[in-house]
Amino acid sequence: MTEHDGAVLTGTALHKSFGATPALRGVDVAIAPGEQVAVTGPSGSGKSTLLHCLAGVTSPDSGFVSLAGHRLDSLSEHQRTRVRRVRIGLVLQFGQLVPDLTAVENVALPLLLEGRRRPDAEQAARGWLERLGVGDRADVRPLELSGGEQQRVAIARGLVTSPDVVLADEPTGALDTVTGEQALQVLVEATRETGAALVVVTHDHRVAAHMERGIALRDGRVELVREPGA
Amino acid sequence: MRPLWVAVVAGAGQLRGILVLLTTALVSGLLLVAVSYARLGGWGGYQSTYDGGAPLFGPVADPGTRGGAILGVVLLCLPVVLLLDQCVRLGSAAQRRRYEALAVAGASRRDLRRWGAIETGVPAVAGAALGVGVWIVMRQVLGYGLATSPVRALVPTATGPGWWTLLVIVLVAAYGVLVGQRAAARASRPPRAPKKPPRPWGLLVLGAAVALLAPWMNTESELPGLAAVALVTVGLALTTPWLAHVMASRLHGRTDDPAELLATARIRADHGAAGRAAAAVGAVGATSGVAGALLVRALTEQYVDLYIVVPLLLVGSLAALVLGVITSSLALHSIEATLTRGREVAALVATGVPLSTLERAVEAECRIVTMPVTTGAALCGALAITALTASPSALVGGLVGAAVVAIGLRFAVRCTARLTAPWLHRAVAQGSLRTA
Repeated sequence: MTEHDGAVLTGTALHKSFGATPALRGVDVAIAPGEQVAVTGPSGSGKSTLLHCLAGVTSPDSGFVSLAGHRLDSLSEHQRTRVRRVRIGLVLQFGQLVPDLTAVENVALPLLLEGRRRPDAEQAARGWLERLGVGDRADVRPLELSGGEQQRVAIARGLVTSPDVVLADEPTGALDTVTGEQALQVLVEATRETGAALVVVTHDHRVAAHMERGIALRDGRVELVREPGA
Repeated sequence: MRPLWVAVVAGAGQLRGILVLLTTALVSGLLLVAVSYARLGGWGGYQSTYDGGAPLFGPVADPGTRGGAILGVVLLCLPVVLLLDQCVRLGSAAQRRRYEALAVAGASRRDLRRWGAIETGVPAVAGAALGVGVWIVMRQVLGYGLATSPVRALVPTATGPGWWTLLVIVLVAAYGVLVGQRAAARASRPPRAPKKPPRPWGLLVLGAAVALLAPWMNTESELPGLAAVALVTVGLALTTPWLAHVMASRLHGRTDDPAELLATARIRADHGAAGRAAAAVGAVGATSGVAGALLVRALTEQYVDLYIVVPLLLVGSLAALVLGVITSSLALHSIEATLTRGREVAALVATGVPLSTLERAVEAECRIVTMPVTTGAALCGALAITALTASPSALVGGLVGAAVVAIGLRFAVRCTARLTAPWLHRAVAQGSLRTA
């Protein structure tokens, strides 16, 4: 048995450099199903790069990422895109919703790409928006939503395809303390309900404290791992 | 130390400056040609040559049709002006960041508008002046060069624009300054909520055109025809943003295709660009329908009159060129909008939207409104000529013209989407996802 056995998402010996600047220097991570993990570290420690590698957005220079035992680097670009859409939910710092689409259309988009009919896709999207407390804002465009509402819509978009794992990059970074706390609660509870694993990249130790386990990065290396209950 | 205006222009980016210079030079050159037509004189009767100049192309030499030729050249400037408008928007994301930094440093909105005027005004002044060179080249190639051909000189060699040159340069340069000021005002405003849906006021202008011109239809004068073209141009320009919004909204409400959903949402949020492009390609469509109907009718007559056939072929060729310019400007607009929102677009790709879907969305944005407007306008033009001439061959020609322009538009949209794809790929680079 290795520590990666049974993990839903693993990164093995991940190296990544941008020009002459190394961002990751041999990082190993394993995320168990349903587990909630915080990745912390100072600016430039490689947190976001690790998240982008785990999401298959960025390819590592060496090492590999596996989702449920399947290596992402063995997949075609088309297959990787589909994995990101269906099996990985990505939540980003500013929500980053399409400004021209309404909240419900933003959430329904991944389902439409999966070939679902528009009414079905929008019904499912409305369901998620209701669950996350922004059902009454479903037909509003992102510019008319508050930061907290935008983040809830982004969380709904990340969860609508029932992914195995949700990766969140500074999900509360653009929000005030109270709104950020609420958004985080929504994210934690929603992933717990669906059984999806949650990986949150943050430099905020209060956010990290909500997670079961913590991985601290420094200069592209894992500096410390906080185990559950520690 | 380099002067401030050099630093301002350099800061705006080389590509933008070059494109502004080229488009203003072309507009200025075309307007100088139009002025040289107007200065031919001899309005009393047909003359094939003027003061010993090269033999002229019939419709230009004939004072009865010269007004139409002048209007045609002026209308030819419109798609280039559309392209100029679009070129000025290039790099607007960088421009916004630059202006935010300047505002932090203490620049007022008035300072920023002045800054924008310099950014575009300097290349526009240079381009307007370069228009004289464009006119000289056109006179050499399309004037002396064609003098011995069956077509004859398209640009007069006996007359030039004279002192009007100065006025044309000032006008074109002033337009460039105005466009720059408007772009700067846009860039210095915070992002706003989506625009309100447009109103169909243009239909009133189109209705007024029909109502005012109907009593004059049977007169010999050329004036009602020219006035009709001018009024219809204004009416179409005012109506098409509304039409674009309505068409996009209807498709948006029922489409299951993510690319069409993204494209129609873009058009609804920014209906002006799609509307302007639709007006321009609508004019091309109507021209193609009319030209096709007249050409086939002329060819099916017992004799082939070069006086009719050559101008029609020329109009058809120019229509194809204009179609390319318009679709390029629309694709540029779409790409610019994508680059401006690089972070959101990169996030779309990161969350599993295939790049091919975004490419199709750009293509759909260029096609959704322009295709039905162009085809419809071509059919209207063909039907109008068929009704006026009562000739079945004109209808066949008009339908051929409509089909050709529809295929041409589809091809132009496909080509421009392919050409602009690398910019889209750059917009979705992973760097755009960086956190703050």
